Amino acid sequence: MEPHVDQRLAAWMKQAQDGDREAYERLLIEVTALVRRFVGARLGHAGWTDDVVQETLFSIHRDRHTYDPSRSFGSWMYAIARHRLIDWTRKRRRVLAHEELREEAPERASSSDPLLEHGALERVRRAWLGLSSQQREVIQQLELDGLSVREVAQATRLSESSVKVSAHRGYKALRKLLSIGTDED
Amino acid sequence: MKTEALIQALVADVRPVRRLPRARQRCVNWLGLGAVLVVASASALGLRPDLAAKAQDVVFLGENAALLLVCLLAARGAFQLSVPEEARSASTYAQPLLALGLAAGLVVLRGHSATVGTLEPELSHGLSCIQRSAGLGALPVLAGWAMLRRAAPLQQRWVGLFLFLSAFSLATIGTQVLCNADGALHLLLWHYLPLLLAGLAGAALGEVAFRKRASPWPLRPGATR
Repeated sequence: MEPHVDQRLAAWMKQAQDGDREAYERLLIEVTALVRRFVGARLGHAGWTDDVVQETLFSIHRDRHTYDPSRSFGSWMYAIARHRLIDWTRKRRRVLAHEELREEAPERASSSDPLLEHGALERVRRAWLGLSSQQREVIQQLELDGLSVREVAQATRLSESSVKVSAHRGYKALRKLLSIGTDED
Repeated sequence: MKTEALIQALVADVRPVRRLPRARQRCVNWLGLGAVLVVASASALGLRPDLAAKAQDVVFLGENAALLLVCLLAARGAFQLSVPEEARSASTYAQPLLALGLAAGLVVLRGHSATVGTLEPELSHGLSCIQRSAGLGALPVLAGWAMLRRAAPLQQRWVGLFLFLSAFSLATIGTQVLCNADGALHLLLWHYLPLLLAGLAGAALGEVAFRKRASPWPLRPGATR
């Protein structure tokens, strides 16, 4: 990372640590581009890259208090991105191994229900159970009960941002689990 | 939600945060607290009667100085690794382990040059030494865990290893001012081996202990808040 870019990002992060939203937005937009390039060069798959980018953004947000403005921002950011990439790769490996085992289960082939024969219902059920209880609660209220984000926030005692983020994480997890199953079919 | 929408959600959620003090400052704070805890606990348990004489013994002082070195280097490593940063030097990882090797090596050398006597006193009191070390190290480990958890340890196994090594080195020094047995075999078997095992346990626990750090959202499928 160019030194002047590093200094600019460090200054924005310092302002963000003090609660400056404009600086934080500028920072996240620029960080997204940098991390996307960094991860994309290693994964080479747009969908997967976005997953890791979003994980990295979460981590940067959660751990922003650990950034020391006197140190390099790039070093701090890329360390987080690198570890999120490693975590994601391990997690994906585990999911694939788990799915391979499930595919070998004999009951799937013996079912008489057309939906079950294709494994779709089972995949949806597994994906749904793979979500956290909070994600399930939020998605159920948003999608099945038809509540607005504000209503869900009130019902769950979460902030509206947390509701959106929980839903986002849940949708992403569902999409990932279901797409893996479909790819393998 | 796309990444752009996620950014908006994160921006909406931003509020002022208290910056984490620098690693060196946190390390010094923890070492101070750990030393106070170990000294207070060891004093309460009753120091060995010949401690004044042992304080003049160069071998005793040298062995404990080596343990103190393990404690300092491992603490420094744990706190340095608790914040994200690329390009850590290999010495961050190697120095605490080399210091541990040096500490054990000093005892081995002394044992090698000593006249071999009966093994009975060497092998006795083992359980009480392990209990003392565990008791003396428990509070510093908990305090260190709480401090490190507030940061963002990415290499959790290393941080766990160094935290346990540091805390239990301090505890082993405490044990050595309580325990009357100075035989090399006794020290290796009941003071240093448990220290090594504690470090390995820390490495094993680190991944779990530091991954459970509270986060504002469930980051992974299946995670609960």
